[in-house]
Amino acid sequence: MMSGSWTRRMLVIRWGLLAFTALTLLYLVMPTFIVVPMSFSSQSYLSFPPPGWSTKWYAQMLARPDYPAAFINSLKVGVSVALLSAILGTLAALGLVRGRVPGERSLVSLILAPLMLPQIILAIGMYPIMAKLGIIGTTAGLVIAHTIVSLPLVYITVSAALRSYPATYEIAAMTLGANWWNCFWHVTFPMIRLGVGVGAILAFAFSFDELILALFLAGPESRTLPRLLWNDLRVYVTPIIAAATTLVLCLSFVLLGLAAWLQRNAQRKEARS
Amino acid sequence: MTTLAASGMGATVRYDGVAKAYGAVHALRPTTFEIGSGELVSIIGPSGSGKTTLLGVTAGYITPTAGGILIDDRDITGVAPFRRNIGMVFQNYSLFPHMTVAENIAFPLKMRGMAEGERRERVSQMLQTVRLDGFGDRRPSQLSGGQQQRVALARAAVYGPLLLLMDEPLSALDKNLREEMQYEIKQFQRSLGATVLYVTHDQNEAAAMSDRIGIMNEGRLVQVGTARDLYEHPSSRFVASFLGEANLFQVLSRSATADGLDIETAEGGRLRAAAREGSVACVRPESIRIGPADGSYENRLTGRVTDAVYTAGSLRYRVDLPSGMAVTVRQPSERDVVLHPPGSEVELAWRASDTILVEEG
Repeated sequence: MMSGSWTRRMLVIRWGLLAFTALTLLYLVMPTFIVVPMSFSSQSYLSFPPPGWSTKWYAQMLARPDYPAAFINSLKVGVSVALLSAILGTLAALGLVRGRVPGERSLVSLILAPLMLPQIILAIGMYPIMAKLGIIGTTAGLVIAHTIVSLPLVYITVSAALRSYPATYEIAAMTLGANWWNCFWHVTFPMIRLGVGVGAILAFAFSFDELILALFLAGPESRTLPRLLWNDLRVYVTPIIAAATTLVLCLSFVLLGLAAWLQRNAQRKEARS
Repeated sequence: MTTLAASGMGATVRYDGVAKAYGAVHALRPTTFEIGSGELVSIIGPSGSGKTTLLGVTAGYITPTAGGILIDDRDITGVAPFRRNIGMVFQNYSLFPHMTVAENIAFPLKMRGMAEGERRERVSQMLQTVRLDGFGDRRPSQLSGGQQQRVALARAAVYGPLLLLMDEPLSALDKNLREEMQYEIKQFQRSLGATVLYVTHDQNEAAAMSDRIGIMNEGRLVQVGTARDLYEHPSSRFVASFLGEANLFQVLSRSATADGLDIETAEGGRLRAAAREGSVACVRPESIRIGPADGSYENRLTGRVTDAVYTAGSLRYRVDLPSGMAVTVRQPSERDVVLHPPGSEVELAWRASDTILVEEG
């Protein structure tokens, strides 16, 4: 029967597509996840597949003083970068989306540029400036560098949030007697806080696994986890590296999951009401 | 704080040559007019005619480039929007989605530092006024369009503003609800004695609600008057054709006679008009009789019917004159009225007093 062969053909196509999609996804994430089994290897060099299983590399990582210190440095830098980018990116979005700014388009391009440009260029440019200012190798220097690249992330999420509703809400608040601060605090911020939150999470995630700027600008006491991994990788290639990488991976996934959950939650709330 | 309800009086508003230009673009040409206390004035006009700019400079979120605005004789031109004590209702209502209905209405009171107990009392009073008691805990999105509109109204009026601005507040509603809300807003305005500036693009709405109507075009307030004034005595071609329908004849020459005016028109030949200045002759569709008429009609033309339509309560004809101009004629459809089918030759007649001369422009 015609219809029978038609449905069968559709079935083949559907399963074929599904298999293709699965393979593509596997191809995208496999290299990332290979470090997870490698970190539980019983051998003392990086190998895949591992000949046996052990958690000793995690214990060794924690026993070394430099790994926990680098982890804490990364957290410190990441949180500062997230806060700074959230504040500056939100201010930039407010001004450019709601205000009448001459040369708005070029300003937006300038703000977004650090995200598009290769970080190596940024690093080479910042090195002499920071050296002159005497902040090379300090946590503050690295925070400034990371903020330059993460600010666009917040700008993008917050300006999208601002464009999702008309400015009449703010005009309404003002005619109702709200001054600038009250208007922002009671009306604008509640409407964009999801954008600010997601932008801040993305900024933290960027900072937490950033290597190139850290290579150029971080010093011994501001050494972040990716920077330490890089050092270790060149000296001794032990599964400690895989263990630390697995931790970074886990944290990144938790953060991205959090961002996705926040967004879905907000959408669901919207759909409910 | 004095309230509208207590004083029973809205403020007077005076526009004193107020204007707004963006570079070479004149969004609002120098405008001077007054709104009386407790008066509802509508502003109508095509989009981009300056209605929204007029609202913006009144509310204070647009800074005028010239002139000033006085409310109760106090110059508010340089006053920040949040200190003007003006209420505004928006086309999209702009109810804050993250607040409940009661929180929305309480917002302006909270901004004025009113104590919570008094706030609650005023909000529940206001909810009663707009017949929404029991809805205070809902979110705006859980209300119908008409209910949201009433909340917006309550929120803009709860603090007793000197003036209420309304920016096409009913355009998002369907036709039946719109008519009901027109009545409700009017009642609401009367009970408060509020002064209202009401912007709409719907001339029927403007006629139904306003004490006076202002017509704007290309940044200019071209004429202000009652709906009847504007319809019967338009000042310009624009006003004549914007309000209702108009048959317009270009006047080529004019000569005064003892009892009126003889004019020579491009499209209709010689016509009789009541004496008045103007280079365009306007004849309303309902002033024209179709078919045989007695001698009291000074103007007579013949033409051919090209279209005849029956719409609720009236017959609408399109009649082509020999000059090629299409004249619109509207007649009440009484039971015994004869329908002139398309193709038939007909006589059109109207009185000299129904030929209204208006200025070009």
